[in-house]
Amino acid sequence: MKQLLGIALLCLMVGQVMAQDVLLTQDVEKDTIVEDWGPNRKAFDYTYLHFGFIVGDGDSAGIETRLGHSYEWGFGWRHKTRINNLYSIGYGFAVTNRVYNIKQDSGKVFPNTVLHEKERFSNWNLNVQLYNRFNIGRRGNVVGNYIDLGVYGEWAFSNRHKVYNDLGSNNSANAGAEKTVYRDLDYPSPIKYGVEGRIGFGKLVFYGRYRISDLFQSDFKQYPDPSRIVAGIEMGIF
Amino acid sequence: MNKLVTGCLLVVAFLIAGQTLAQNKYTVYFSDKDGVEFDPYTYFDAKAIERRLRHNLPLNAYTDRPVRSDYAATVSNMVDSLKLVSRWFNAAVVYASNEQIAAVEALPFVTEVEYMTPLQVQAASTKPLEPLAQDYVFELAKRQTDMLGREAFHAAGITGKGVRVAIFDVGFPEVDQHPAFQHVRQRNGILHTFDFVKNKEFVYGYGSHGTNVMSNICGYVDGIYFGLAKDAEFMLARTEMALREPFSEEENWLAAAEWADKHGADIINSSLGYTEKRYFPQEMDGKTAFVSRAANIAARKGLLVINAAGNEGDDKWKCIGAPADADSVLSIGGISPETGFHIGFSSYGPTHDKRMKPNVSAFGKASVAAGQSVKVTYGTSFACPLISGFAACAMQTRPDLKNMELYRELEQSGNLAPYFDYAHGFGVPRAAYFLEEELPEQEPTFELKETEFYYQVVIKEDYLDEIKADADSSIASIFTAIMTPHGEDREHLYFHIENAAGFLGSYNVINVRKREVYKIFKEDLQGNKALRIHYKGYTVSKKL
Repeated sequence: MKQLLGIALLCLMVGQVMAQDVLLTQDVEKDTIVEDWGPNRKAFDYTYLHFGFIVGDGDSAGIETRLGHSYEWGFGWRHKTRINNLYSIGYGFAVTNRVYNIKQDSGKVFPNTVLHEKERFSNWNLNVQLYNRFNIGRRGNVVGNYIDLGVYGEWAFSNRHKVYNDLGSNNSANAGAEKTVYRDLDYPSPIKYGVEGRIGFGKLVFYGRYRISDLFQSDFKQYPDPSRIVAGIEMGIF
Repeated sequence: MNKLVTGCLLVVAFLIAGQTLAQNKYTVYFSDKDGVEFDPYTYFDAKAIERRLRHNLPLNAYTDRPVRSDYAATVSNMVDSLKLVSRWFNAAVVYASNEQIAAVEALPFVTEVEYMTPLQVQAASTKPLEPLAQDYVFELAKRQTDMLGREAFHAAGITGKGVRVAIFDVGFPEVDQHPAFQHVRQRNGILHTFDFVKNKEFVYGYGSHGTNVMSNICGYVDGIYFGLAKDAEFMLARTEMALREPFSEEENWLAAAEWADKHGADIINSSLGYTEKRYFPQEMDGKTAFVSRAANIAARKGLLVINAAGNEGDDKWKCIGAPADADSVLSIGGISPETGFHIGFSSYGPTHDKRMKPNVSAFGKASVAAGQSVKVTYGTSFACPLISGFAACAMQTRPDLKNMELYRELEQSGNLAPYFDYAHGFGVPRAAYFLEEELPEQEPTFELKETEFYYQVVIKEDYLDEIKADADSSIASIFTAIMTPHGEDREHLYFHIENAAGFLGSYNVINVRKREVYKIFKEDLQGNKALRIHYKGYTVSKKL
């Protein structure tokens, strides 16, 4: 009996559902709620990817980085608080890998004068930023075009010095090349800071960063500082 | 010290770049037109004079008189460049630096300076053209005009003859060669063209959106009509850039509207929309957007402005764009030819100040002339010209009507009228409304039964078509199953709830499968003003 009742109830429910396919339903009052979150609303968060080149030759001879072979890349997250249509403030975090490809010539002094096939100094950094944003032009709910001016601080949580050498023939390892990785380096500064600027066109951003602090610890004054300037592009993911 | 200097230089470089980027555009509004001489008979086309007389509009209105040349010249000498001068706004659009515009603002005859901005705008079409089987393309072309009553119009000799339609778009390549427009070319039906982007007359290039749109007003290929108004006259205006989307497109729209007015246009077809790159949804109030203000003035000149609702229905923006939000613009929503009701991407109303939009609808998926051939495309861009062609035919049947009277008649001719909602407006306009002396009164198609707790919609037996199982696979059957040639909806029940403030709080479309369709519980209706239900041409309005 219970089974029969259950089947009957099921049939009734199915019948009701079949009687009324709702093809379109709209709640107008819900549509008109103004949100606080959005590209040009009170608050906005977004992630981004960036890639840039280390440009220039540094403070002094002895640590020339190979143009086009010294770079950084990473990803980050940024928050923006809108003050008005012209001005916003914000902060962000990023993880960046930076690679200095050291030019091998007789003038090299970092980290020593020994020449190799290839030599790299690289680090992974956790970056914190604070910035002011100046938007250009009136706009709707979009990021728009803007200039960012701000400061950053970084903590290098991993440093590596890598050298690559060809072994030639007839070596005891019976190998063609060797790679040596030096870790737990004494000379890199764990904390770095500087200023940065961005020119943004919606999701596409051109950025420049200038490191004010030294790359190496004060105990290692013999090491000249490589170029302090990075220039690159960023792509917002939103 | 060197590090600090270099760091500062970097910062300064960014500031300079910022200043360079901030070469701004402004609209400078003037105080008066004192002493300006104006002869309307020299300035206006004869049709423009005729339109004014028909609408009892003055021939020498303030907004028709030119801007004072001394004001424009003074401002032009103080800024980098002058883009355009608008009679309707009594203003000039200029490029100027901050210092220059500050000096302009101090002039005694300048009442206001409005800061413009670079902007992106979307042409209101979405998915790319589909290279579908030609059978489907032509069948859809037939249906898109049949459902508007093309056969009835053409049988009565109504083809939009004598009506002048201005089309604003991104370009018109192949209009001078495509077979779909041969009948227009043969009778010299394209009267004027102008490219407001490059300030020259040639428009037969650039983006093909305008070509697609025009074919849905007057296209005719291999015996198949793609639009209703094959005998209308045309004015083609390029107001949009294909790859970049600067704010100047809204200014071009204004300039094109003044041009269309001068040359006697009756209808403006604008399958264009301006949304989130420039505005917020709260600004879609018909008064804020530059282009909406221009569109309202065009309507005050007696032009019927018809604009696509937009394709943001399934985006975050969702609502109609500008100038579809303007109160005097007939905004066109899109319906699906396969389902017969709202097509997902068609933008929804109402405006931010709760005025009903869109006003009416047509197919938002249509066959168009494209390249050297015909194809199917999506967008309210194509619902808009289908209605423009309809409006041209309606105007031909009722030349006595003023633009806003025709606007109201187009709404009342909708297949859902007097029912409406913010997805369909009043539905698809019907030719019979304009051709027949009096339409037969629709017999009740359902009953609204009331119990203590709910209202029950019960379809009358004669009005519930049998659902065909295993419908045949022919292309025609896809459409036949949904809508009759006269646009009557076969199986959809519409209902909405009007709230105490006088606008719709919610609206729905229900697929009917059996007689007892839907229960609406009284508990859900508390605090509201009215319940309206529509099924197959019959509407019940219940005061709550």
